[in-house]
This record gives sequence, C-alpha cells and structure tokens, in this order.
Amino acid sequence: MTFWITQLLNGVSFGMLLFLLAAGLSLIYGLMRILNLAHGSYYLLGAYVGLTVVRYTESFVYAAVAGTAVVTVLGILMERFFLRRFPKQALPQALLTFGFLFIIADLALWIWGGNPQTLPKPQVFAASIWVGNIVFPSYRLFVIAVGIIVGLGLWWLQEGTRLGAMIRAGVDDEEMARGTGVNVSLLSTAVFGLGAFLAALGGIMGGPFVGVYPGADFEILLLAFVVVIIGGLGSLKGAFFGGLLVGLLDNFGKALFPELALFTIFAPMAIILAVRPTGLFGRL
Amino acid sequence: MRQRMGWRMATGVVALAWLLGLLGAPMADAQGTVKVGFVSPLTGVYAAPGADMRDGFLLYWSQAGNKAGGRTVEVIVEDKGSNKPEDALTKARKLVDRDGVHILAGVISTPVAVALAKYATDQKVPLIVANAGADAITQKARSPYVFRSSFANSDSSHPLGEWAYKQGYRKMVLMASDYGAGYEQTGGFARTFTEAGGKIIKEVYSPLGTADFAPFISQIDRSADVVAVFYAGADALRFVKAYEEYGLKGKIPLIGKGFLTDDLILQKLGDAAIDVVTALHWSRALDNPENKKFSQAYEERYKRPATVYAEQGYVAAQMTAMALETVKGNVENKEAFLAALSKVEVDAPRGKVKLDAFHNPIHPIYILKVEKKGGVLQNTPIASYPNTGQFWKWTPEAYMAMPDYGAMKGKWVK
Repeated sequence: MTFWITQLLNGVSFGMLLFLLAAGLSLIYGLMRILNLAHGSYYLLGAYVGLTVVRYTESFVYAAVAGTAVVTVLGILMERFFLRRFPKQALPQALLTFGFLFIIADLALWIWGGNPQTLPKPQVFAASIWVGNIVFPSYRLFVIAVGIIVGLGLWWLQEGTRLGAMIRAGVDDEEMARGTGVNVSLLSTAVFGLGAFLAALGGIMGGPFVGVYPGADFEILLLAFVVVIIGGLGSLKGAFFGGLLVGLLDNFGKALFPELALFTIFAPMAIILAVRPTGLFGRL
Repeated sequence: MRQRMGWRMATGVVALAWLLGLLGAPMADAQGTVKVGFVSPLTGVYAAPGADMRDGFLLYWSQAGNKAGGRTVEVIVEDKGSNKPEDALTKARKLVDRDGVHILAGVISTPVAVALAKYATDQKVPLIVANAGADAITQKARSPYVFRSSFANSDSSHPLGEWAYKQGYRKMVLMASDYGAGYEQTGGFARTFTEAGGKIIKEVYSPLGTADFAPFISQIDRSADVVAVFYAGADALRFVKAYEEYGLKGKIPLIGKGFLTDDLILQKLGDAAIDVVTALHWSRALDNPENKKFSQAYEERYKRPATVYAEQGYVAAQMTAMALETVKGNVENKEAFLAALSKVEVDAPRGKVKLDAFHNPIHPIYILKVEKKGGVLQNTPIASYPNTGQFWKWTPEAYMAMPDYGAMKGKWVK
C-alpha cells in the first residue's frame, strides 16, 4: 500500500512539473506555429538565475520572481526582434530557436560552470512528511499544489477572460481572428512571454529535485516534447493531462519494470502517434 | 620600376619562406619542443570533470616550468565537445597529423577512450588516459601504446566489497547507472562481497541521467543491511538527496564508489551526504605532503576545489615528465619511451603510484566517510589498501578468465 501511494504521489508531482514545461511549448505552437526549441533553455536559465538569486538572498520567492522575470523578458525579446523576421516560416524559426538553445547553453556554461547543481528547497518544505509508514518529501506536495494552481489559473485565463478568448480564436483560425479585430501581433508576444514564464517556473520548481546542469536543457526539451505530442499541440488541457499521464506512466513503469526504464516515456508517445496522431486533446 | 619589383619579390620570398616554415614545422622539431596533445571535453555534460582534468595536467607543467628531460614541453588542448568518438578522433587526427604531437593524453569517457586507444595504437603514439575507467582498456583490449593515470572501474570496488563484509553486512542491494561503467564499478564489490560470504538480494539499474530517482529508491528491499551504489555527476547529486528524502538515510547504510560524493558535488549534497561511505583512490582530505602541495597550488591557481579528475590529470603529467627524464628527452625513440613510461613510479597526491604490466595504476585505495569538519563536508579516509591493482588478489590470467562484469549484470542475485 505504501508503495502505491508513494508512487502515485511521485508520478503526480513529476507530472505537474511536466505540465509546466509542456504548457508553454504547446501554447506557443498552438498560436504561432513556432516550434520553440529554446524552451529547454528557458528552464535552464530560470533555474540558474534562481540559483544565483537564492545564493544572495536565501529566499526561494525572490529566486522564483527573478528567474521567471528574466526569462519572460528574454522570451519577449526573442519573439519581437528575432522570430518576427520570419513570419510563418516554420523551418527558419525552428532553426533560429535551435541556435538560441546552443548559445544559451554555452553562455550558461560560461557563467555558472559545468558542475551539476540543485536549487535549495524553501525552508518550510525542506523536511519529509511521515504518515504511518509512508515517507514523502513535502516539497513534492508543494509542486503538486503549484501545478494545480497554475493549471486552474491558466484554465480560467483561457475560458473566463477576453484574453483567453482571443488566444483560443487565434489558435483556431488566425486569419478570422485578425479579421474580427484581434491584435494577433501583440497576442503573439504575450503568449510567447507566457510560455517562457511557465518554462522558467518549471525550472525553479524542478530545480530542487531534477537539478540544473549542462545538458538539462536538452533533456527537459525532450520531455516537454513527449508530453506535448501525447497531450496534443495547442491544448492546455492536453499539456495538463498529458503531463499527468506521462508522469504516472513513467513512474510506475520504472518502479514495476525497471528493465524497460528507457521505454516508459517513449512507448506511450509512440502508441499515441500511431493511434491518434493529433494527441489526446489536440486539434492541429 | 626595378625597386618596386624588388620589393614585390622580397615580399613574395618572405611569404613563401613563412609558408614553407609553417608546413615544415612538424618535421623540423627533432630536437625542439615535445608536444603533448590533450583531448578533453570542455562543453556538454562532462565539461566540469573535463576542465578539472585539463587544469590538473596544466598545473604540473606550469610548476615544472614547461620542461622535462631537458626539452620544453608544449601542451595543445583540444575540446572534444560531445561524447561522440568521431569528434574525438577528428581532434586526435588534427593533433597528430597537423600539430605533430608526440604524446596524446586526456579522455574522460569510455567510448572516446576505446576509439582513441585504437587510433593511438595504429599511429604508434603513446596515449595516457587520465580518466576513462573501462576495465578492458588495460585488460583484454590492452595495447603497448595505451597507459592510464586514473583507475580501472572495478579496482577500488574490490576492497569495498571486502570492507563491507567486515562491517558485518550480509545482505546487499546493488544499484547503478545502467551502462558499462555502472556494471564494472558495482561488479567489483559484488564479486568480493559474495566471495567473502555475503549475498546480493537485489540489483536495480537506472538509466544514465535519471531525472527522478523516486521509483528506483522505492525498489530497495527494506530487509537489506546495506545499499551499495555507483552514481556520478548529476545522478549522484539527485540520488543521495532522494535517498534522504524518501526516509532511507539512517535506516539502511549507504555505501558506494567515490564518485557518489566526490568533491565536484560534495558541498552541494549538504547534510544528506553525512555518513555515506565510499571507496576511491583519492580524497581532498588526504593528509600527505604531496596532496597538500597539489591541492593548495590547484586551488590558488584555479580558484575552485581540487577534484579527483584534476589529480588524475596531474598524475598523467607526472608520469609523462618522469618518462621524459628517463629517456633524457628522446621521445622520438618510441621503444625507449614506452619502456620508460611503463616503469614510472611517481609520488602522486594520492600516494605512491606505479603501473602494472597492463599499464594500469597500482595505487592506494581509501575507504572514505563523509564528515563535517569545521562546517565543511569532506571525504575522510577511514581505512586504506595500499598498492592495490586492478586484479585484486587474483592473477591476471585467473581474473580475465572470469566472466567480465558486463556479462554479470543481473546475475549477482542467486
């Protein structure tokens, strides 16, 4: 029983992290058809900036604010000054973001060095919780909480606000949206910034247990892609449930079938691609 | 008109001479500089150990005034970038063909070591491996041109298995990253532990670069006396922290290979690492004059803690210098140089090091325990096994006749 509960909570917490990472990627692609390969770099930078801020201020909150702020600004700048030069050209845009991925990776190596690091957890969540026989790090429960709050926040944004309506319109049919007076250009920048924000938040949240190190950007990007493929491009619901599904499958897969550890993430992706290529909730 | 032509001719001649000089340079150095090509990853996941290994190597030469055996020594460093052997081969070719290096050194990872070992043997250039520990390189796949200043994956594992049995542990859970080095590093202690009478009750392997260790930690059989592991780098950092988070620290002792708590990540592990016991051939906390000198010089020059990778780079340089001294700088006489290299005995920061017949170090192995001294974590030596070779108590023939550790994966649990 202990085993199942621990694994369930684990899978859900990892899934929430995956959701944060995939949501941004999915939104950006959904609205602008840009495959943002620098998404992994946003995770990396968010975590590294957070690390530096935490060193100087001992505050997880400041680190989170700084990390997300810096990366959001970077995302906006990337979109406004670089990606705009290739409107609607998928390949040049993807290559551009790929280039950024490498540049940021090298910059990070130069500034923060090559050692693997982890973000210190906020003091209040440093200990593990014991309920009977079950031990679980309280920090991971925090991650689950944040994931749910962000999920609810994004859902409210998408369904309950005008901004959300404009985003949905833009995702469904950009020309019509423009035709009805939606400022798609400003929207694009806003969504790109939001995507970067979510990835950086993922970096801060994931920093304490996944860590940050050279190569993390590629690994995270890969995970985000898997979730987005399973959940469906352009869909927040897809990112949420896709993330949960991948987190649970991966966790239980590794715990029950360790010999297949490498497959547990990719097998579901392959199955979805074969059976339902647009993903669980995708519409593109 | 004549004057102009003269200037042009002169410029042309000078340019031609300069070009010829460039082309002829590798050949013209018969009594000139000894060139050493150092191949190390300076970007990517192995960037940190790669930089340490290179800096340890360079530290020696800067202390020796870039001289050995009466000749100037020049080190040319090439970043092999990714983990792909092809890239390393390209760099090695450049070093040997274009730069005319006499000796190759460096190499963090096994696939690169295997590729370069073959290349060095074909090109007849001595290669000193300053990290990659794949057992085969100095066993079944050995070459007269390939030497190691670092370790064989299983050499410090053998004493750990015996030590574990002596502590009274009888039931062991074995965990490692799921790749060649993982099997060899843990296979060594699995073998000596089981030979002494202990039992392996479970083997758990996780992919290299596992983001989340929770599902693997949950597979640890709670009736075990000890959990013995091999993890390095980011994996080690995450594993040790997760071991504490999921309540195992203090319940089941954790032991492993030195890379689990090595100085690259030790301070970041924090209190989660306290009381973890590991086995390795070096620790920052070793209390001998050579190590004190080396560590202080390294930290003063590079402003970061000395690590085992730096020490291995330093020892590679020590070996090169000693061999050059023996042949009085005549590195071009390959036979003499190889013979000199195989007979080196250096006072390394880790202790006395010499090479066995297969060119792998015979060196002291230390059992280390993580302790906090003066608010800082360190790997304190609590036991030592001097003059340990890669074959432990077996003869080379008997050892190599046993199944290799890659084949033993999954078969330790009876």
